[in-house]
Amino acid sequence: MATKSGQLPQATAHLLDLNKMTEDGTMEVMRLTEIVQDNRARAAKELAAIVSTLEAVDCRTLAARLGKATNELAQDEKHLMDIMTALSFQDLVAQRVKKLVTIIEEVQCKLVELVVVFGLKEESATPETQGKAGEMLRQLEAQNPRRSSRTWRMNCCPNSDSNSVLLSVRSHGFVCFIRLDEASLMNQLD
Amino acid sequence: MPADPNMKILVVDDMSTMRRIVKNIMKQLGFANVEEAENGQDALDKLKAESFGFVISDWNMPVMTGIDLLRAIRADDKLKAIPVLMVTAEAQKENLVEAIKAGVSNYIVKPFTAEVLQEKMSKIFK
Repeated sequence: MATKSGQLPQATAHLLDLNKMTEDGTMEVMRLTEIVQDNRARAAKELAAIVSTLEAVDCRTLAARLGKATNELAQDEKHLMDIMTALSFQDLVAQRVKKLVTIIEEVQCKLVELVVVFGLKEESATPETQGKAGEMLRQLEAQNPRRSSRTWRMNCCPNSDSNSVLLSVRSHGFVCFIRLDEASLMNQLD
Repeated sequence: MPADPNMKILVVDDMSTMRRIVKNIMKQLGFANVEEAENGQDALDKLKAESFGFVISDWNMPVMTGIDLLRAIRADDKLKAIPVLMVTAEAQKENLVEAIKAGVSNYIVKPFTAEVLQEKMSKIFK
C-alpha cells in the first residue's frame, strides 16, 4: 500500500484556500443582496407615498395596481432575507474545514515525530538532502541517535523543492511517502 | 416588555459572515443599532465601555468562548441583567444544559432563519 502523505502540507493549504474562497464569495453575495435590499426599501417607500397620493385624488385603479406592486416587493424582501440567512452555510463549512486542518496538522506532526524517533537511513547522498531542509534533517538525526532500521527503513527520495525532503518509510510491508517541509522540521528543532 | 428598536445590540462571532448575517436580520427586524465583536474578550471590553441592551453570541470562538463570556457577564454586577442569546452549531444537550446553568436567556441552533431569531427575541423581550 502506498499513500502520498507528501501532499499533506498542500492539503492543509488547499483547505485554508477553500475557507478564504467561500468567505470571499459569501461576502460578495451579501454585499449585492444588501444593495438590492436598500434599493427595494427605497422603492417600497416611494410606492407607498404614491399610493397615498393617488387614493387622495381618487385614482383607485392606479392605486390598486401600485398596491399590487408593493406587495410583490414585500415578498422579495422575504426572499432577500432568506438569501442572507442561507449564506450561513459558509460558517458551517469553515468550522468543518478548521477541524480538518487540525486533524491534518496533527497527522503531519505525528509523522515528523516518527522520523525523529526512528531516525533516518540515507541510501545515497542526493542533491535533495543538501538543501536547508536536508541540513535540518541531519540535525534531527544527530539529536535523536535511537534508530531502528530493522523495522523502519527511511530513504530520502528525489524532490524538486530544495527546502523539503521526500522520505519513503517502509514498515511491515507498507510504504508511506512523507514530504517534510522546512516548517515541520523547524518545529522539531526548537 | 417589548424590545426597544433603539437599543444597542452586540453581535459576537469570530466569523465575519455570521456577524453580517445577524446584523442584516436585526436591521430587517427594525434594530439598526448593532455593534460587532469578534470574540468573547472583545465583547467584554465593549460591554464594559458602552451600554448594550442585548447580546447575541456564538459558542465556539478563539480567545474567549461564548460560554465564558456569558459567565463573565453574569458575574459582573453592571452587566448581569443584559439578556444573552447563545448561538451554537452544536446542539448537544450537555452544551445547552451548561448554558442554561450559566444563565443564558435563550439559545438558537445554526443554521437558523430570521423567523426563528425573531421568535427567540420575542420570548426574551415578552
